Amino acid sequence: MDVALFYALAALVVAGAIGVVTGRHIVRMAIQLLAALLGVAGLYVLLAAEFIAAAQLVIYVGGTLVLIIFGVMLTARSGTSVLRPSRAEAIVAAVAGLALLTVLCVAIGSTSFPHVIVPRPADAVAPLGGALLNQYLFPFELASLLLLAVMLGAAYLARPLQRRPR
Amino acid sequence: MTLGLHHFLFLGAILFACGIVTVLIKRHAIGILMGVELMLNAANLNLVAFDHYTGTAPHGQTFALFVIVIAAAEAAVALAIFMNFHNNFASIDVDRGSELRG
Amino acid sequence: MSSLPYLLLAMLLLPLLGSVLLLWLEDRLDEPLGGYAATAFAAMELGLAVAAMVVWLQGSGGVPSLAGFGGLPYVQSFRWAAVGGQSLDLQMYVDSLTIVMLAMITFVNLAVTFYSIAYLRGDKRFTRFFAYLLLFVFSIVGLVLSGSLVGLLIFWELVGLCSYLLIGFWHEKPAARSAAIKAFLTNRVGDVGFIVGMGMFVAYLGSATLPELWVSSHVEGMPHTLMTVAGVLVFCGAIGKSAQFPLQTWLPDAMAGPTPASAMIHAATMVAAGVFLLARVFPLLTTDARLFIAIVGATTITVGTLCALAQRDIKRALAYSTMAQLGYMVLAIGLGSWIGATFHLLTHAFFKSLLFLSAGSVLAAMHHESRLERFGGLWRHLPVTTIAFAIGSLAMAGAPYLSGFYSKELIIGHAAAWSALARDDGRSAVLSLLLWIPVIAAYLTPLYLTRLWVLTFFGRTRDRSLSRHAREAGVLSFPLVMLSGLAIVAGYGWFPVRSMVESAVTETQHYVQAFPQTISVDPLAGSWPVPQEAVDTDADTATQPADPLETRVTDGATRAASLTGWAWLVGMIAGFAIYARGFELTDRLAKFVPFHALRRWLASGMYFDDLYALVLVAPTQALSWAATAIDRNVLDPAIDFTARSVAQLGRTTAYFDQQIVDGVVRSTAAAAWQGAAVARGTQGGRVRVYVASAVLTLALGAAVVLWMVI
Repeated sequence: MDVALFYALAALVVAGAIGVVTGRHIVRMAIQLLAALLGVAGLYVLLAAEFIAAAQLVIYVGGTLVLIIFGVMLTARSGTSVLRPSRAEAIVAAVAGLALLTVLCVAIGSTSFPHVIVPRPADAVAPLGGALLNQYLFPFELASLLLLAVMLGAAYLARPLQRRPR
Repeated sequence: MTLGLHHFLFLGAILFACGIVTVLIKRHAIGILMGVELMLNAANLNLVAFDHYTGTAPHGQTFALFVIVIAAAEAAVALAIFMNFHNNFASIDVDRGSELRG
Repeated sequence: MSSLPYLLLAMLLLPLLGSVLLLWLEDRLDEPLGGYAATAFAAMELGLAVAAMVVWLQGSGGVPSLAGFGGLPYVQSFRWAAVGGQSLDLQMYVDSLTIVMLAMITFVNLAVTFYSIAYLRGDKRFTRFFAYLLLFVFSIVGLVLSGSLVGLLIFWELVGLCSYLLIGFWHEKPAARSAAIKAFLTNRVGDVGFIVGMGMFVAYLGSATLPELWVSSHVEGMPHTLMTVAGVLVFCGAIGKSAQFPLQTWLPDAMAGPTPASAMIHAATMVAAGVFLLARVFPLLTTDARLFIAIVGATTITVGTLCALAQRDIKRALAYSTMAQLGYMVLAIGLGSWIGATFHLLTHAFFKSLLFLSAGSVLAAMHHESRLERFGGLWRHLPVTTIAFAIGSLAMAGAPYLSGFYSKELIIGHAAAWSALARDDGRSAVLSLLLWIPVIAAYLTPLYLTRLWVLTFFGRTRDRSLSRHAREAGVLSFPLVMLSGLAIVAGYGWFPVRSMVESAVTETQHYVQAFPQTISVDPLAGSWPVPQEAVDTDADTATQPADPLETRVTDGATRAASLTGWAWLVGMIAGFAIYARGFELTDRLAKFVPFHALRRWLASGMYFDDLYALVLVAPTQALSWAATAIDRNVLDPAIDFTARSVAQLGRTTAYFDQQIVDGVVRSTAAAAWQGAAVARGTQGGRVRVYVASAVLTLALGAAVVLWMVI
């Protein structure tokens, strides 16, 4: 049962990823990405990480992706021509990606992972919360600082340019 | 066949490779950002998978949570930069931003 | 006696101070003022000399062991340099000879200085003359005071320098310039011998001071030949300085200087420095050296007297006369008559300077014309000068009761005794010439002096236009009177000249007589040892007739009187006879070729100048010309060539540097630039290229790691 679910979700993810890779229109690519992200959220559920799945959906899909689409909207020009890479670049990219994929697959395939079935805990969120507030307290606080800095920086960076009077 | 770790790992590898290729191949800045998101998701998948198949402490999940947070922040900053870029160059083509050449 | 060194030091430094002062203030001192200042210095100097003489005469109070007249010499020495085991000391040696010489020098100097104020009136370097004169006085005082050969040499050279300055005083005249150089160079030739001889004495006897030399020449002794040679070499200095044969050619030409300078230095003092040197080194002269000296002296007497007979210029005639009289002094030293030589030196100073200043008075009146042809009958215009010249001539000729008589008799008497001794000893008869030459010269001297007097002052005036305005300057006459007085009295026994000289012998015997077998300062001693001095015929001095040789000496004196007693009168009469009508008689004789040739030969100074010009000057000039030619044609082109080669080398190096070295540098820079251009290509500024390269590298690295692990 799990396996079938896994493959279904994996197909969704890969389809979305391929769609992103080969997409030409940016908005279509965004929708493909949405599909991929949804599939990944489902896989999180499969991995008994419900909170992460929920966080993924809320932050990633609801936040980041919307942000991306907003960005697309704000930086769109009238009569946008499709930006295409040159053939040489495409080949180089493909080679690089394939090389990396090969290496990774070889690495994964040649490693024997211990097969440990861990019983599903009843409450998956509590240990997470506990870890956040105990072991990972410092990164937790730091993350909040980071978000503050990001807000300020983004606000400043995206300021409108003042045209100098001629 | 039971669901094993390697399933997730292979999927993560494919996802990562797709992300790399997207970054390499796209001229649209936001397309590159999408590629980066794909790579981050691949890493997250790996982390959660390992967390599930190894021990009880939720290290992997915590790490994945932080990654999500930071990815969101990074996306915000990146978009801000793209907007600035767009204001300056009137274009979203990253090939236009080649002034830092040697 | 304690004040003596201070008096003498003041005497030494005062003229130096005066000279420096006059040179320093030359521009500010107007005409007579500089002369008056110099005369004041000269008067002070004479005062100091007289004071020194008084101190000296009282000095020993008759006690022979104290310094002073009749006692001991006064010696002050201090070390100058020590070389190895020998030391060179400077020494002040004062005996009666020193004192009397200082008195003579300062007296003549005062007369000459006062004379020069009027003589050099209107000269544009008026004050400088007096500065030079004072410098000269400093030099000669230092020379006379010097008891060390080294100090003597120093002042010797200074005297030569002052002579050069004074002869060449009117350096606008080319004759004066060349005469000054000639005098200096001729003296220098003699000085070479002097220095070598002095060096020999110092080296062998270990000291440069005279007393020590006298003593050690007989304690350690020196090999006879070496001592003779050293003595002859030291005499060479006197040959140069005192214008003896063969270095006599400079003295007649030195008359190109102002007459007061000639009077001071070429009559009285500088030329006498040579004789003074001989007197000081007398104990160091061997018999052979002294024979050589006597022969040179006799030769000089011959040359001087003969040439003086034919001179047409009054000053040149007086110069040759000085030469001859110096020959007398040198002959005297050679024959052993120390007293005769020094006494004659002192009397000669007085009457010769008198003669020169009288001649100067004539020149001043005749607009510096000095040729005898233009003179004649000047007694009307210049009466005082006429009388002064006459007195000087009579003194020199040896007229009785004048100073020259006493000194000349002493020398000729000594020569007669010496000649007799030589005959007794069986020596060659030629040596009797050493008597006959001074005797014949004693007849010829009054002849040429009378010639001068007659041609200048007597008879008809030959050049009316010149003599019409001849007037005697009263100021010039005063020194003439001063010197005339001394020319008369200097020989008398009561006047402190003769007695001082004799006392000097006694004082020196303190050093020398300790060795009775050896030579002493006494005259005649050492040639053929007779330890007694010759006495003159006038004084009633009792001698010690224990020695049979003594009779020779007294006989000699009598013989001298008989030989030359009337020489002065004979010469005078002959001079009047020949020249009473001016040059008439001689010009008529000149029609005979031999006489004419003789006259020309004598007038030119026996052609010595021409001989030296041919033998010495011409080869030197040729050598110098050759050296110049080599320098110009060989050395200069060689140097030019070297310079050009260096320049060419420089150009080649520059080319090399520019093309090759710079080229290497430039190509290195170009290579670096091109490498950079290639490296720059990686920084295209395109992000995706960066990422692609990163990814590929990552893949590669991971593959390598895997390869190693698996």
